[in-house]
Amino acid sequence: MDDKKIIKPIQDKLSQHRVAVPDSLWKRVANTLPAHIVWYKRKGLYGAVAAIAAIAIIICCYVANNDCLHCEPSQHICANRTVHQDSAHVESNHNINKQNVINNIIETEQNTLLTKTPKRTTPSVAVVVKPIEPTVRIAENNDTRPINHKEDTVSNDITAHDIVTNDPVIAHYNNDESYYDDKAIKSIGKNYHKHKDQSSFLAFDATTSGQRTVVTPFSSRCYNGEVTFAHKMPFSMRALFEKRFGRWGLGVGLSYTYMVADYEITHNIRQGKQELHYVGIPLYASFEFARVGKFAFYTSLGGQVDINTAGIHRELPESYAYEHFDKLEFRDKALQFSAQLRVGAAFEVTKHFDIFIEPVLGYYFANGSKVHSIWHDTPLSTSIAFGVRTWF
Amino acid sequence: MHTDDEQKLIKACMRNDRTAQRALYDRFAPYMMAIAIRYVGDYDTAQDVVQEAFIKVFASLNQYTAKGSLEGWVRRITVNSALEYLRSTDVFDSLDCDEVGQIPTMNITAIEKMSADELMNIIASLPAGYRTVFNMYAIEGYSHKEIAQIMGIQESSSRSQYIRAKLLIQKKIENLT
Repeated sequence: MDDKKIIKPIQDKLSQHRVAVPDSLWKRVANTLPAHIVWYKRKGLYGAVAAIAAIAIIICCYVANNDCLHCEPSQHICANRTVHQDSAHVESNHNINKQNVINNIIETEQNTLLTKTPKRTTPSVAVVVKPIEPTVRIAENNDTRPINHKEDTVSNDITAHDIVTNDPVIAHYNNDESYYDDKAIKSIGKNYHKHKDQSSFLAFDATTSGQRTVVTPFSSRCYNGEVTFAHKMPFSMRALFEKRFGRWGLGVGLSYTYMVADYEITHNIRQGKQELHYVGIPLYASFEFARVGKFAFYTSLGGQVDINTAGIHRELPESYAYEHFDKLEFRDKALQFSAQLRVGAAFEVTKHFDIFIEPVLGYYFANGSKVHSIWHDTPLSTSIAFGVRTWF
Repeated sequence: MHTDDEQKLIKACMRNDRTAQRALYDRFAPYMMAIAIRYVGDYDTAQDVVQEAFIKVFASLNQYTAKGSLEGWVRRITVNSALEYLRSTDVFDSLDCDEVGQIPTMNITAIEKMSADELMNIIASLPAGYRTVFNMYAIEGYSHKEIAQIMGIQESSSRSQYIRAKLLIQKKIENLT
């Protein structure tokens, strides 16, 4: 008889055969398995707690970092008056006469020309020339009037008087109605554009603890030379690639960070927004501590290097500065290194593709930059990151 | 079990989730026990084999490619564990390659009437060498050449052991009926 005909019924009977096993066998098997973390059994509870904690951190970070100028500024920088002392004196007296103003303008112009030479300023001063203060009203017949701000400024329909001077700039000066010639001011103001600092016109050496320091002529002409920054919480977009080892992972990626700060030079002499754009390369190790359905909760620790790709100062129209600039571009060439701790929540879109949100606590190392980013002014700061990650 | 559910179960086991590991154990332990008893012949030793097999299953789940069935993969691991045990006990050392005369004819009708438990008990009661070769050749589908390589014996020994196993099974079936 064919052997296969005999084997077939035996195979059929035995293929579905089962034998009861004692309960003790599972205990023996379980004892040989790798140690089990007990809390992980309650992953639903811990996942929910992690989610609530992550949301709370996000809200706290948002509230803590979104200062405004009406609130306590996130950074005060006090400045010494370094140039244009005479003109500052005139302003501080709030009382001027015609001759004083003429002298002042001539001197200011001379100073303006001199400030083109870095020797006249301290080495840390960014050489920027501000146009002549337009808010000065000159009194006739030794009449004095206090200096007012923009509301009291020029009327172009007032007839000009000649000024006895050989200076072509001052020749434009209109002494008849005691107002500056708008064109003259602007011609001087052109120097500002020639000498604007490449890093930022608000760049100056300053400690982050509000120490007195040297500032640009822009701020030196303020009454007390104080600049305030109110930094808002930065946010980042990241694309990450991870190699997983169970619940551990090693990752690298690309990150884009955008940050905004409101700045104000004392008494609203200048007011505006500073925008900074960074591209960074993060390197980190991660650990997934909970998973609920398609949501994973994890923490990561690593470092990042950020490169400033662009910076912009946008002056607000309500600024008192006579000559407004709409937009001033600059770039900070210093690399920004940081160490970062992240707690994140990721949603699994496909098998190897997640989207995530991460509150970030970072320590940003001093890099000698003069640009006042939140990382410069508050080395230990928080931010929010969104992004995608793929893993294998 | 649905493939997706099976994949989730495997992933959970890989994350060392005890609940999932217990679920996998409950699903396959009786099946593995039946295989182990057929190979090693007694219940207590079979438990040791099943325990070893489960350790291997949980440790190497990341190598399971899902190309074949999970049941087949687990079955293969159990058989290998049983064979490892048998090799360690030198059950094949005494095997000879004596020629067996006439190949016996087994009664198919009698086999069909038997329960799986009865059949398993008959196989389990065979001498270790006969039992092993019979299981590997008749149940698992190995060739005599493969059996010879796996167990480190001559191919002719495998053939003779198989024929002797069949003779013995036939006798036992006749005794039962």
